Amino acid sequence: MTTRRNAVKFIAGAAAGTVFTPVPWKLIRDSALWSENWPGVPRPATGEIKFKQTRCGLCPAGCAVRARCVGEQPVSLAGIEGALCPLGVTGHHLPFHPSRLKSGPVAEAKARLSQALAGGARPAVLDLRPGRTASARYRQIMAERKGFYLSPPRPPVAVNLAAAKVVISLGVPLFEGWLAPARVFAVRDHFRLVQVEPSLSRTAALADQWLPAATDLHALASSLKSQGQVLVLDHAMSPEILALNRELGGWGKTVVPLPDEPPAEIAVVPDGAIGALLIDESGPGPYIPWPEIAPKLAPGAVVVALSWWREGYARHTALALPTPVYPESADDVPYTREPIAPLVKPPAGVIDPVEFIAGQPLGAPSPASPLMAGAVVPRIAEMPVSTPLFSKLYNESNLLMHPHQAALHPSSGFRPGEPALLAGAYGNLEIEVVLDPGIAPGRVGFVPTPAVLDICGFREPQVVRA
Amino acid sequence: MKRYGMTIDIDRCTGCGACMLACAVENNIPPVNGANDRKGLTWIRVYQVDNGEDFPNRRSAFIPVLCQHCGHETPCVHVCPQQAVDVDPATGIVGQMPERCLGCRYCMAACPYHARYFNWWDPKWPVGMERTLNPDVAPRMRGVVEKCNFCHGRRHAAEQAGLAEYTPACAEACPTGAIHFTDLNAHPPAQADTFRLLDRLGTDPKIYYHSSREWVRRQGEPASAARPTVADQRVPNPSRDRKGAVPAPVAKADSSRDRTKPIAGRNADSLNPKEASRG
Repeated sequence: MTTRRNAVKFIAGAAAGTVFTPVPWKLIRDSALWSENWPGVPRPATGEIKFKQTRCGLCPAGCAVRARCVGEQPVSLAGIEGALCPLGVTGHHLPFHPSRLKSGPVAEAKARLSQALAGGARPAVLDLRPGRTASARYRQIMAERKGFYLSPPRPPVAVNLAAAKVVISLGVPLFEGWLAPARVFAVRDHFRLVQVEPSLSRTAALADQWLPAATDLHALASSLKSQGQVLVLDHAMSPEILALNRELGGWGKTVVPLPDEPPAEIAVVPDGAIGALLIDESGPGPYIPWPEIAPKLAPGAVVVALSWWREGYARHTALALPTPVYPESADDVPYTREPIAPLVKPPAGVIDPVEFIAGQPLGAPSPASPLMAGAVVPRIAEMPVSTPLFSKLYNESNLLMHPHQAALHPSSGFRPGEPALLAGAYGNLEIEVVLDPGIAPGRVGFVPTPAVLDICGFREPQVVRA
Repeated sequence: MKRYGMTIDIDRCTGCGACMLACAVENNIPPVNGANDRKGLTWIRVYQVDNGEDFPNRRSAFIPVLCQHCGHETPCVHVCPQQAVDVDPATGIVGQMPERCLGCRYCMAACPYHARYFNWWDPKWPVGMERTLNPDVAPRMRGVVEKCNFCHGRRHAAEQAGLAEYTPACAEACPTGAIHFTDLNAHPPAQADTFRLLDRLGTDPKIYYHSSREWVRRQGEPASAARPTVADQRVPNPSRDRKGAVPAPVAKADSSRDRTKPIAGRNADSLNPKEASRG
């Protein structure tokens, strides 16, 4: 007879007995595998595998690149004469950057520019990657229109490490992208590196000798002369350092002069002189802090940013127009003018900056002017750019500092992870403190993103309590 | 018979991360939004280690850590209930089959090198970036463990093309030439100044590191050198021997340094990275 007690006993017994069968374990496994295969895993596109060659357009080194493509789309980039830097390896992801600018008020920008120029406004072009054929064109146009051609500080020389036996570096991030890393390490075993730098940078960590304190440079160079040709570097290759290299007999050997060009620093422009500013930010490049630019603008000046992303000058104007970005754009390598062939077509709606500024496309690039073999143009200005996969380096690991962090010595009194303010001459920015015993007491390590540069300019910021 | 492995010259590693990015590009590893360094996916990960001194006596170095492709008593193989991990006897490569993986993460607990990573989320790339995926490697689904397989897509492509050798993406991308991939049977690594991570565990890792700096070579073994090894702990029990769990040495983490915590905290063992400081 079926009673309630019997039914409960049967169900409980069945449940207990099931545990001793493979059923629950099979169910767990199968449900795990089933849930793993819910839709959401993208399938890579297939197609004919092609290889294309170009030059990397992300810094003045212009490394040769071999692109592996599926159809026309690059799926990986590799160096030809040496491996690429982290940015170069992921350069084909730039068109898909979450901050990519995809549309902008083109007609309105043209109308406001025409109106301003017709009203006698003095134009200016800010070219963030000087030394290209496009740069020469901008310079010519501005000369014709009595405007200003402006650019970030440009290196006066290329550097040939192969000719040096001793390198004295004054805080130059020699192994961190100042020159193409592969070209540095191709000759690394042939020179001794003395790094003079207050903090333990990556270059200092791998230098043959790290001098945290400032030293008498002439005495140091003289004492090392017996080991062979001495090359002295500082970040911008300043006139004093060039003179010292000339004294040391390195002119034309370890330092190779680049063609002279008229000055284009923004500091030479009188305040309030620019009535219409056109910014060519069509590729990852250096960034001049906005507070350095803003005083040069006349009241009501029209600012048009021809930009590939929203994180740069597009934050400072409503007239931000989208441009192609590497590897979509046809361009040339700064100073050597070697052509950079586009690997993919740019999306619809982007604006060619040269065509917009000059009124017509660039056409053929200027003839290449090769440097002395082994010489590389340094990247003297910061490039605050990363690709989406860089999250592997600063989010998913601790390898790089996050843009919203600042590093201090533990004696600073801050706690790790403490919220604080990065205080610069032009404002404050919320950051999180990271303690690093490799940082000199009193110094600050920070990531020079456009947002950070906008609050501190080219001077080192301070960290203050929030 | 091959025995693929790597020699990594720590004295040339600048910690630029090109190997990590090239690995992600080659193996279709997505950028994980919202992940931290304990939940990220990095089949090869570069740790910053230091000599423990304060400024200005501090010195640091970078150690790329990937699956060590253990050749003896491979811990992850022993613990996997799904037989989703195997050692290829022809190459010595420890493979991972995500289709079989249950996501139990026993292998992650067993791995003394923290070289295995769990897919916490569906793989997602920024809009349109799926077009840049490598057609030779299938993206993995959520809920499975993944790790370095010495770029099996490249190995298969090389085999199909009849090539005897190939180069994994990290070795190809290293701008300083610090990473060398080779058949260790044909090209045994030099003995001088060479070390392996946690060598005393007896797992026969196939990644050899080189540094002329003595304090860097010490990073290969944790500070608790007196702890027993696998061999010391063996008891006369064949089944236990076969499935013997590898004892985890204790890390001597310096908790005063914030960026250390995630590394040392993942599991109490490892490389004793006293600190992974600023980049």
